[in-house]
Amino acid sequence: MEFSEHTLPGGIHLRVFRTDKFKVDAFRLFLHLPLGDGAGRTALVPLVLRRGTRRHPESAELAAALENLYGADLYADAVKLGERQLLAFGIEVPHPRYVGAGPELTRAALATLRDVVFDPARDAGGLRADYVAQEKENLRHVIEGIVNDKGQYAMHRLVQEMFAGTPFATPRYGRVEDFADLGQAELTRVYEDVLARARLDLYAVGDFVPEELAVEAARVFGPAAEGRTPDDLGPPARPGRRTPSGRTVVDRMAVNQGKLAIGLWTGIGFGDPRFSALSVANGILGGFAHSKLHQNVRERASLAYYAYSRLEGTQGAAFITAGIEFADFERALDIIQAQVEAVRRGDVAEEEFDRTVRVLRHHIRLSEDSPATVVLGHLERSLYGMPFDAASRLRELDAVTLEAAVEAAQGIETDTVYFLTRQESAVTSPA
Amino acid sequence: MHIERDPVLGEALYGRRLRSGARAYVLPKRGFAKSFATFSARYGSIDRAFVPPGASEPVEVPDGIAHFLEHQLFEEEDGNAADRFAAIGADDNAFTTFAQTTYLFSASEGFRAGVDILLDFVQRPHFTERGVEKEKGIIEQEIRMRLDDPGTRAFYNLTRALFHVHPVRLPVEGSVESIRAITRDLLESCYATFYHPANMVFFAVGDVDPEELLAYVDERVAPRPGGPPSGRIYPQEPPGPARTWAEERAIVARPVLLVGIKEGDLGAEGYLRREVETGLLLDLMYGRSSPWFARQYAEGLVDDRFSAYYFGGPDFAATILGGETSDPRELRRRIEARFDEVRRDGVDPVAFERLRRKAMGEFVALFDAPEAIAHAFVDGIFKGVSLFDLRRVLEEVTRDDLERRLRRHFVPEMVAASAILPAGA
Repeated sequence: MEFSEHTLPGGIHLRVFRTDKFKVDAFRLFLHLPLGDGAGRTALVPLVLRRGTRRHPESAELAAALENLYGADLYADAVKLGERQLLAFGIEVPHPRYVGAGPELTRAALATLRDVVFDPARDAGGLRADYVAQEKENLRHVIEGIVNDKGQYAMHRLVQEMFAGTPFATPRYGRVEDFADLGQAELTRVYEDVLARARLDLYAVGDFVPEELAVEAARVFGPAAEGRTPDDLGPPARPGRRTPSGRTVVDRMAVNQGKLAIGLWTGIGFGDPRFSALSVANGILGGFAHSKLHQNVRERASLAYYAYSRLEGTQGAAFITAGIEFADFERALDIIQAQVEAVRRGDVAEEEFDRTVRVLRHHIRLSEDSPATVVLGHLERSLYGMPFDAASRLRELDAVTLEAAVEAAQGIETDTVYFLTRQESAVTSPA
Repeated sequence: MHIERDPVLGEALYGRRLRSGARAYVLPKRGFAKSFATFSARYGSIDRAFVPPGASEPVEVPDGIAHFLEHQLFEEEDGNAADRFAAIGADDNAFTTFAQTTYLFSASEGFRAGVDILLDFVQRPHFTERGVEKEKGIIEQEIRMRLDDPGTRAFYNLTRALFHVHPVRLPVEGSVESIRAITRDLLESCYATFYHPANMVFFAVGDVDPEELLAYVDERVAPRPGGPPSGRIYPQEPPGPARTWAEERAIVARPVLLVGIKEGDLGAEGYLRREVETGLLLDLMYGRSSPWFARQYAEGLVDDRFSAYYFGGPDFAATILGGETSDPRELRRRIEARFDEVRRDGVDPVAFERLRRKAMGEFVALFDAPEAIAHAFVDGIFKGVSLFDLRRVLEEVTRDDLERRLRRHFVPEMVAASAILPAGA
């Protein structure tokens, strides 16, 4: 995969990954915003923009236009990356050669993406009032709907508790209060402000001649983006050491299964030279089916269907989750804590280390098999000054020894234990 | 060896019947880091009554046993097949549906070693009393996890409403009670019946030499006496739904509605034909570009996650559509009212061509993800559908076909619906 970077008018960074292995060309556009109060207002922007453009003001017309582009897939969403909220837009369209079309297909897709972001449907008062009102309702439903998925809800509650008072506690879509009273004129101002000031990254993955694509993208986006003066958000914050709160938080609900979610500090975040070693430590602990958590919580004790750990590299944190029987709370917690201790003590067989490194190698390699992971991998890793290409990542991984992985695990400390249990459960919160 | 090609896509599918009676297929894919292989049995949760090989009387086994067997097959005399996959850096998995069980792995190096492990553990069961008891605790938690998922509950309540006696009305995983009755002997009997090579299919996609790989697989699937299962017993299912409405309360922020349209007569048309025609009709009637969707969206009866699809197996099928809604009964009414409206207006020629084009684009996009190719292949193979057939059917289908399909399938007498309502509301 051949990578190149281009700077376009209006401060647009274009990144091109050239490859002929995909039959669908993918374009992505990200606007970077600081995450914090008001995230619900900015999260509303992509939802409203997605509804229609000046050229196709009705949602059904825009949908029909996409169908005509061989079912081009358009999306607009908000995502959370550390202390940033990214407004993420994208379009995926079959490469012309596979559907008997010409280069106008790609151009039309790119122009549609531009129209969605820069040339939305408006009425006399700004962004269309009916769309604003409907999308406020929809966003409220999405935010309130987090309770539908109990595992996701438990993670959400853990993050609220563990990161209280920091920007990272802000959910991806913000909070309902952020936009409850927001009117059409105000949201239009929010949108215009975002367009004028947010850093804008444009990605393309597909079979392009990069220089030609840069010229085409400048032609399509240039006039719309002209005169933008993006704010420099600066490099993302590096997580420092934090003192564990040692808290246990219990919520009750009429559920069939208890959800355990544990938040830990690792002291090592993205960009730290020890991060690869920490990834190996996490793989040994709970990243995979061969890992200690799955083996001990599920296979030996038969307590859970799943028990995993994962790193939150932007925060120097890790999360462990498991779905368990209500009465098994303490037993599961003990087994999990014992596995964390085992990794810290270096009680790790050579075989566990080998398997983890091999599976991590596999995952790094297959990150180049999908446009989405290519783009997100670059976005996330380049932001934190880490190499993004598979070859460099494999070199970093191969340099990690078992000793280095154990050393990286020394800073792991439990901060918050969260348990979602049924109403009548006898678990009490000691805190 | 049989080779099927799609010259526009530049893809080819190589297949052959192995000496054991199993079928094997390979789709070579250059440039991808990952290779992907599956080994599947035509055996799912609906195969709950059958005559085992050598027996004269039919047996009925506990619900959820096909899925239980899938979990247990990973157990080996000296460990677990998952550990062997991890040792070569491969990702492994397995899943059971109503009509099939599939074991799979992906690897970016040592693919041949992975094929060895896959074919070996699936052909070498090692069921123990201890293993069976241990699995009960794990699967009980899997079942409880699904009980807390409103989408799954809505789905299973819907199949129970749509079908009177067909086992597709029961959850694939069984229930906490039914799995307690599973024993080692029952697993042995199910294995002997359904894991005969003649009932199995191997598929691989990746940067591999197809002829070499097929020869390699042929040597590793051992012939066995007997043949494919001949005594599957499915009850006679009446045409209409068992009930027309089911509802339940759960912890959800908003109501969820799923509407099902049961296929009363599976007819002479193949599965793919029905699936393609129904898919185009669903886009036309309820898709994002339809006036119907615009109206319901504006009124809050549907949101951006509304979905519609055709689902089925060897002797059952239904269309399923729905999502979160402000008013389940009203949404159901409007979904049904749309049947007549489209019948009256007919299939618009412009929309028809546009939606066919969209479906063609989606067909192309399928070939960008090795796992999506594998899933599509495995899902199709036991229904007699091959990978490239979709292009041919899409090219052949006409507006008349859709209008005929509309009259045959979209009829109110075949509709049932399932709603999940917020607890305490």
